[in-house]
Amino acid sequence: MANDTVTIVMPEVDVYTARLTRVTLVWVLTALVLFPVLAILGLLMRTEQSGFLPGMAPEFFYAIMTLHGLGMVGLWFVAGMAVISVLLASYVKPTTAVSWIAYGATLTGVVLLLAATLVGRLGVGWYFLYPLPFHSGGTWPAWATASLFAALAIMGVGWTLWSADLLLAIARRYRLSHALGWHYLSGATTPDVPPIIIISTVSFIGVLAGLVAAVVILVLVAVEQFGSGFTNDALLIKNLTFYFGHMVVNITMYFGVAMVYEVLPTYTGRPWKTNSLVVFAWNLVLLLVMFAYLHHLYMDFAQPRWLQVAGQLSSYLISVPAAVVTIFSTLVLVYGSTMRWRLPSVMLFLGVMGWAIGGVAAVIDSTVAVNTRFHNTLWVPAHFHTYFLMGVVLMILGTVFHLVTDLSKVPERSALTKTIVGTVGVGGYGFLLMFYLAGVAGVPRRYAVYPAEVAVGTGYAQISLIFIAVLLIGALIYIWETGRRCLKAFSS
Amino acid sequence: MKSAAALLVSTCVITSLTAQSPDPRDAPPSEDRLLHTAVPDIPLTTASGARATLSQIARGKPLVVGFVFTRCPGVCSPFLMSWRTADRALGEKHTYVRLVLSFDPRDTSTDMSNLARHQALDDNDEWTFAVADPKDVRRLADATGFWWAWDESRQQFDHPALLAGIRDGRMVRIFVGGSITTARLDEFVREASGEFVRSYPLPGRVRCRCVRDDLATGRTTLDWGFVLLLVPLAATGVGTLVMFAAGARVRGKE
Amino acid sequence: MPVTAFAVFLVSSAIILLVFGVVARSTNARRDVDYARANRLRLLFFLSLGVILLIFLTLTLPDLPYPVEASAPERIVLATGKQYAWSLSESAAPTLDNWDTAFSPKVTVPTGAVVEFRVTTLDVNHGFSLYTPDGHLKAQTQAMPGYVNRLRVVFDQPGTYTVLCLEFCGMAHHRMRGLVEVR
Repeated sequence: MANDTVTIVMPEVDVYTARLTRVTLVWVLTALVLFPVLAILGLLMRTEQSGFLPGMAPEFFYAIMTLHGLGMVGLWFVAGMAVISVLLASYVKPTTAVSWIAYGATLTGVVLLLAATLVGRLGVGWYFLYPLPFHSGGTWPAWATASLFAALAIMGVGWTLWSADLLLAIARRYRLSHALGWHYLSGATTPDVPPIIIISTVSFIGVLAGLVAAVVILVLVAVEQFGSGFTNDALLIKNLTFYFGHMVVNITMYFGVAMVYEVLPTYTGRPWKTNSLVVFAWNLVLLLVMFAYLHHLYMDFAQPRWLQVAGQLSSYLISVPAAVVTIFSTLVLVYGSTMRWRLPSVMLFLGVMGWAIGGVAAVIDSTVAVNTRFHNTLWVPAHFHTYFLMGVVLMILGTVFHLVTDLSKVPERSALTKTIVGTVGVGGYGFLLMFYLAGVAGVPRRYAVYPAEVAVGTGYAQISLIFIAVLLIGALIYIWETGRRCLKAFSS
Repeated sequence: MKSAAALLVSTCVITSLTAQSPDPRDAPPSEDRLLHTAVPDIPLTTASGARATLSQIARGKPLVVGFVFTRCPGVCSPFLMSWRTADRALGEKHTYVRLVLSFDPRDTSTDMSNLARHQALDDNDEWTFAVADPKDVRRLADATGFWWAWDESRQQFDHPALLAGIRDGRMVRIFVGGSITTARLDEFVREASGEFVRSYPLPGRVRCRCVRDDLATGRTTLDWGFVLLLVPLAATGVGTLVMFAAGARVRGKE
Repeated sequence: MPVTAFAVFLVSSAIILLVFGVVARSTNARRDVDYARANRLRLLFFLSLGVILLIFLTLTLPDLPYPVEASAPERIVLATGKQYAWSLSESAAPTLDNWDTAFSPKVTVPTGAVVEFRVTTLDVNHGFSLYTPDGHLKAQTQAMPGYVNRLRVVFDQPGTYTVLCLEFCGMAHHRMRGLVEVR
């Protein structure tokens, strides 16, 4: 990796672009602050599970578990949205004001969640199954539950407006059939619709569906709480909950992937254009992502059998477009190219690899027969941390670094790049391996302390601490480097 | 989107409020306590006057027993009607024997014959209406969880509406409630027939369940819950079309 | 079987790592992309992936934990979850009112018998799971409010099996346990 200055010819900056850049930088800086805080919470969790914090009350563990989960899922969703909107600005015009509204809503939600968990000791988990928030057993007060729902509602409104605005921005330029690329299927190549538009259209439709599901849950819960004689069906709420959760996480993944399609080509010197394969793949994904959530309910024997089978089929099938189109095309894009291996391109490339590996683990777990032994063991956090931390987080942060380097014109130092990549790679995969091994051994997830029957979990947690430390070194260097570029970009 | 969800939910609520709530005196007999208990093979007199035992009536098939009395002004008739309706909906799906037994010592086989005719089940081989000796009825009731008590003030019996599922002389399931749906009867009989029912809902005031498999017709009837599950998809579909229509209008103006 | 699944995962990850490594190294020497060849390779990949997925579907779909036909179990155990304990009994399931008196933390079943667990909960979602004496997860099902889930298990080996909670249910989730003595 040559230690050369990245020279970018900056186009004339108009007011709109300046405003959008500004709000994006605010999002990025906020993310850079929240990420290490939430990561430290994760570290605290693993430390408690290692048995090194005997003084930590279990309710505190579960409160920080809730905060870590909700925080990370929310953080990478909004970071994804922010970066996508600035990339989309090359083609369409998102509204800056809406981004600010979403920012305000997110911050309000964050404050409410901090209060609910750290002060109120609310511990329900990031995805929480009704009716748990209402059965605290004296652990948290009613205001904490109210705070939780208020936070989710406020952020939900903000994110709905934001997603709708971005979809409208696309709608103002493309008609629906073009935005989904259907014309490519009949051989047409005009209008030229870049992959990021297609993936974004699919993603925003998906996210809106997930948010509506969350609205339905809130309405049902409210009717039960404030109405009389109406008891919710726990299975229905569970279906809606996983529909929403699965959707939000998957869409965040697709944001990262869209970034790969958009940004990686600039480092390889080869274009990545839409073709009928890309269109077919992403439209298929839009269809399948609506049903894949069913794989969260295999152990609910009350769920109709045909839905269980549909879950396994759709989960298996959805891996095909991802693998055969996106991942394969990434490899073709890079193979033998004059690839400039800089931090962004390395992170994007490794991000795709992490997505692939995590995806394999996910497909394995989405096999019902396997799920009976893996469900709610540490295999589950293993696989989602793989495609999240070593997948979408790398993709988003790689793109962020690309953007802020562009804006700040601060050159990259290859020694630091190597350090970041090395520590994050080794630390990240080592940390994940401990989860996988524990999952195979049947160690349950979401346990503050491991009882004697699964004491092996404690050992794995202890080893993971070393890897987390290594990972954090890389992460902190990255945050520092990116943060200073951000601040420099602000001033220009 | 929110209003659509709210509309559906309020419909659910209205349905639940207007539906018949279970009689609080129907404290459900503890099914768990009675599982696999042996059921006494009591002698009966059928509506036609013939004598037979429980096992002879069952003929080796799964047996479902419902307890009634002919002078019942309350739940017996509606319950029997819902059982008959659900049974008809299942059609030829299951082979099982239906026994309607009176626990009232005043009832005779003629009374039961009249009841059968009233329910339009008198000419039906699959339905047996019968009476038995009070001591034998008591023994059977104890094994199945059925109970009755004479209410002097109202001059009638207090009792739950109950179906007992019996297989090979042993208790398999109990159903308690004012009426039985096709889906519940199907699940009930499947189990009495030896099929593995992997999950069943508990009685309660839960509304808006996800799915009801109407296996009799081979179609899955969508309960309100399933409709709610489709709301996100539907609402987003509509929303997307609306947004792109608005976008088209903006493009048209430019 | 978890070990087999893990082996499949490791092999797949190794292949992915290898492929990504080879592609990364290939950028040392510039070569043009032969798109025709790439698409043939893509087709080959697609077909192989399809076959692999189909094989796993065929092997695993029949092995669902929800049997259809089953003879009567030899023992029925009523498993009731509540924050934060499992009550296991063959006779009566406790209710919220009589929990303190009817609660039973242990049940004994014979070795080799088909045991059916009827699982429910009195409050929130719990996860009913059976761990073998040497700490392996044997079987599980969810405990849902308003439902009874039935799990059929055969305990081949005698010993003390632990019931742990496998669905997060609150601050003492990790301490919830029950015992199944198999003799």
